[in-house]
Amino acid sequence: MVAITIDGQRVEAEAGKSLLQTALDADIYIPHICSHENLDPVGACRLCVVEIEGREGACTSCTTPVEDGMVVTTRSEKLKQMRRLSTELMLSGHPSDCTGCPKFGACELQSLIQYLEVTDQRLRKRGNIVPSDTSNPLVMHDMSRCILCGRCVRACGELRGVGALTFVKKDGRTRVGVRDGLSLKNADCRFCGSCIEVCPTGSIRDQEGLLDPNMNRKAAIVPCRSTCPAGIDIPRYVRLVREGKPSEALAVIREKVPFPAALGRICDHLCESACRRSELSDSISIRALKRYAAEHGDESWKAGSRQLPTTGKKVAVVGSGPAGLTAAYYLAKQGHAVTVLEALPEAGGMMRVGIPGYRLPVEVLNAEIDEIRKVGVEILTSTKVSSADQLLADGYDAALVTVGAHKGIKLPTPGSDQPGILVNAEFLRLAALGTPQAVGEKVVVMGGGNVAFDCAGVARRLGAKEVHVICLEARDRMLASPEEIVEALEEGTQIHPSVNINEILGKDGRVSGVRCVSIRSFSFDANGQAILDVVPDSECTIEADTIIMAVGQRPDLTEDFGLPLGRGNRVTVDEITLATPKPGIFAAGDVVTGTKSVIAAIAAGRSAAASIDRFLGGDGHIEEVLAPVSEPSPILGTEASFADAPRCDCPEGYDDEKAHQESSRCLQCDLRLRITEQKFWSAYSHR
Amino acid sequence: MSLEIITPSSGSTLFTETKGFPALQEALIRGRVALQDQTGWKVDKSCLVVRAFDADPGAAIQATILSKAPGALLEGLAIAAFTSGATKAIIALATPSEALSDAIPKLQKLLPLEIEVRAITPSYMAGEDCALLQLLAGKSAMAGGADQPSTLVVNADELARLASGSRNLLVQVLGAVKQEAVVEAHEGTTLRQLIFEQCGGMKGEKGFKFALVGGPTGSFIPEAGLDVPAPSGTILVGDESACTVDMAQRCLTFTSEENCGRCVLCREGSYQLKEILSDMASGKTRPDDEAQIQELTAALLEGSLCKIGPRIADPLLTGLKHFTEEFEAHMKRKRCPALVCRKYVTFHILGEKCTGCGKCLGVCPEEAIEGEEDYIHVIDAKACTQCGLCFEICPEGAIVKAGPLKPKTPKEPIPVGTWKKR
Repeated sequence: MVAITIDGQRVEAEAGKSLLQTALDADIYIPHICSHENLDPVGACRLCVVEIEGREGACTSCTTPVEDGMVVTTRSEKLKQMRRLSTELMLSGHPSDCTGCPKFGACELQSLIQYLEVTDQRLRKRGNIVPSDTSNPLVMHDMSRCILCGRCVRACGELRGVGALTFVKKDGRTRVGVRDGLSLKNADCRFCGSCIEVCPTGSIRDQEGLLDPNMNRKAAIVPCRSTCPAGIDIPRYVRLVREGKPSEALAVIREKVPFPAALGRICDHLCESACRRSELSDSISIRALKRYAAEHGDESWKAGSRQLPTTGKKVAVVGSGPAGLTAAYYLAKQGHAVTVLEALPEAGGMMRVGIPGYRLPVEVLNAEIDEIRKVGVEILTSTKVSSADQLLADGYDAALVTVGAHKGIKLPTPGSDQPGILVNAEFLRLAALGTPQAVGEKVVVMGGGNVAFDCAGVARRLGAKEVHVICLEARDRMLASPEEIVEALEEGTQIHPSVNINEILGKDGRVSGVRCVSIRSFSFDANGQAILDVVPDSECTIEADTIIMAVGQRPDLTEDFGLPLGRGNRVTVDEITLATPKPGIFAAGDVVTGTKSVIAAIAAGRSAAASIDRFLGGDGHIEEVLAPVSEPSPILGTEASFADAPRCDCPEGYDDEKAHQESSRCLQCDLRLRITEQKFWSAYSHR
Repeated sequence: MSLEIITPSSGSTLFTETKGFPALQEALIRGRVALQDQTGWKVDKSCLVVRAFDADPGAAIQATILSKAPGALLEGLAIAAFTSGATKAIIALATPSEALSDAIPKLQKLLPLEIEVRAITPSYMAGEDCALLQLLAGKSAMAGGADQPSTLVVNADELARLASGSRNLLVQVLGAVKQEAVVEAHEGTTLRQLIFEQCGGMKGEKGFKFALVGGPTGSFIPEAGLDVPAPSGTILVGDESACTVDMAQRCLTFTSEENCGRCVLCREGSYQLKEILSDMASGKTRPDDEAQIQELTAALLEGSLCKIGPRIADPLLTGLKHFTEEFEAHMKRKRCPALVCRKYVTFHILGEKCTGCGKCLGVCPEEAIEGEEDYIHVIDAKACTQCGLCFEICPEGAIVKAGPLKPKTPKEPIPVGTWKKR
């Protein structure tokens, strides 16, 4: 450590650090714009000039290392004049209008104008008409605002080891551009967004409309992690997979969810829809990488798993679906004695009886449920709870109702009271438990969501020869995930979108088919009645001997259970605490929200556990760190054809090589957040 | 370029090798300390970079050494490496030189010096050491960036001087002299001697006006200042038909286009000065231009990132200092005494000299000249863009340039011989 004097103030500094950074760290503002904490200094803007006793003239503090005993003046009339001239010169080639610029209010140049009190009116204005380049889907270049600070060039070259951006000389004028006149893609840009992060003006920006305006900026920059209901640190685990560390990747996943293997197969991956990669080629196969980590990672994550001492409190969880089991898991780790009461003979909820075994193998699910038992959760199957109040009377200190939505909706379509008409939830449940309902040869599934396709797949495996899926939605508006639709088509299932079933026909005491009509559009009125825009003369009949209605599910509850029920038979809870109106009784998952997703239920289970823990006197802190925390390498380097690299599709799961290949496609958007945010002059005490 | 090379009457010394390579080794061993005293170099370098090309446009000084004395260059390199401890050398040149490549193996027998010859595209910035090193590292030729204290950059002519022990310099004289040449001059030869003795004095009838010493970032020297030793480099001689404001404008235009763009003062400052000069030469001087010149040049002198920055203002500053009247005429009275700056000049066809040959009309790009065969031609002042093509082509010298005082000429074409000079 050395000691120097800045403006009469004694400051301690690390030897070798720059004078500028030393001052800024000591809360003393020195104007600067080309320097950046994460980049090597160049001294291009001449703003950070200071006077040092014993040295002639002024020197740039960014390129001057501190030396013991230095006496520095950062403020004087002469320095102010120098800084003002530098800024005026920068402004001479910069558009005059601040107000029209997207960077208004966040622009470092604007902040300097304010601090130094200059305008662009004194010196001659230099034309700088450069058309915006919006050709790239992720990064846009508005180089008429560029002040040639060179931060982006250094960030791309030195910091990330890519070098796609460079200084170019064009018509006797220096500019910043993509090297060799190439497009960003062809210059092997890694689309890490670091150039956007360091640009002090509005020259290099995220492409219009890409950052979700509903999220705060930092969350929007890493959309996968922010979109995941459970907040899994996706960039971190994808990086660990790429580095050949599946066990650590698994640990990262387990920091947030107790079902990595199940999710790795059936999660509806909102993250992949949000993935910025999809603007370039395909989104990262985040779910498949999760499955890889679950299958290849070992148990080292357990070493850091928190287990608090016994609290003596007892919690009952009604329903062993993803919400209930997740809540039970975390509550047990917080030290409470948890008993899960499951009405069915098997645990797992929708993961067990809703999602067919060919999508989520029973052994995989059971192995993860066993891990939950291992932290002390007691799971009692074939145990139905008919009264919420009874649980508290039985001695539980709190109860969580996570019974899901297991009652399928049967539409009152004309002809719906005939043999051969099955309902989604019941059909899938009985099939999953080994006592399937019989299906004929020709099956019609009503509905267009994932459950409808699960029904179609199960029906086929139970012997159906011809399977039709009929739904009101248009093909591109069907709620089922594209993968499920593609799989169904590959199995020969026929899809009839934009079709309404007017009547279910019967013959000889059994269904014989459906009479349909094509529709142009549909909507629902306030009472839930469908309003259809029918295409004239489009009636047709499809033969079928089995109809499966898959048009939605509701919680299988009545008021007798003891909780007030709202719209759709759902339980109402406080938004934050998930408490029902009955003290000590909480609810979470599909029973509260209606059918959503496994990951949403898991996230709800986490929230419920935290809330109940607080209710029981704990701190509600269930966050934990299971994987070693390490600084990701800032160097990315170049990879040929990176932008176009296609997704690696592998239905049987990745091996090491494919996992490495797929995870290498990640843009690593989280690296942007590691770039130190630059503070404006107003944030410093001495300014 | 085939410039005459003038060597001293007592015989060239820069272009002759010393006593050949074997003797060089002896000289090296005896002379290290002496060499260190002479050059100031200590043994603390690992790499030497030789600038064997000319950064100044139109200059041929390093190129002359390369073509006429590659052996001396290499001997000098050997000595420099020996003195500074360098084990690797890079010779940067514009065009490959067989003579050099052939001579390298001989040198390498003498010293364990790794020599690499690199062809580069010369540019003005490559005359700046930092920028040259960046260029050699595959980056843009820009100043600034990490210091490289263990690399030494030397010019080819410095090495030739080192090898030959001579103190002669190479000076290139161009412009309005009888004999444009690269002159090998004894140290201390004055500008006056160079221009008027070795290069034969002024070319035409017009007298000496200025010497621009040092290229586009050089200084204007008036006649009164010619008795100083000439430095190595280029000297552009201007006679009374040249305008220092115009010349300064060309210099600033060059530097505003050639600067590397790294530091804001030079990059934008050179543009501002160029614009100020351009406005000065076209009647658009602004009230605070003088103050802005002061401010910008002071900033360049004090605050520039590299060594070139402070020099880009030199043409303007020395012009203002030594040719104050000419600059003031432009700035304040909208006149160009030398009749060079287009906006201050009009072209006229003298009625008494025109023979109606029509050559001017044929060459005018703006169709601004009216006339027919055997008629006195007339220039339409509004259409004229002062390109000067007619002035060049008139065989009778009937076309003249005028400043504020315009000659009387016919208003429209009249037959040749009918105009009486008034």
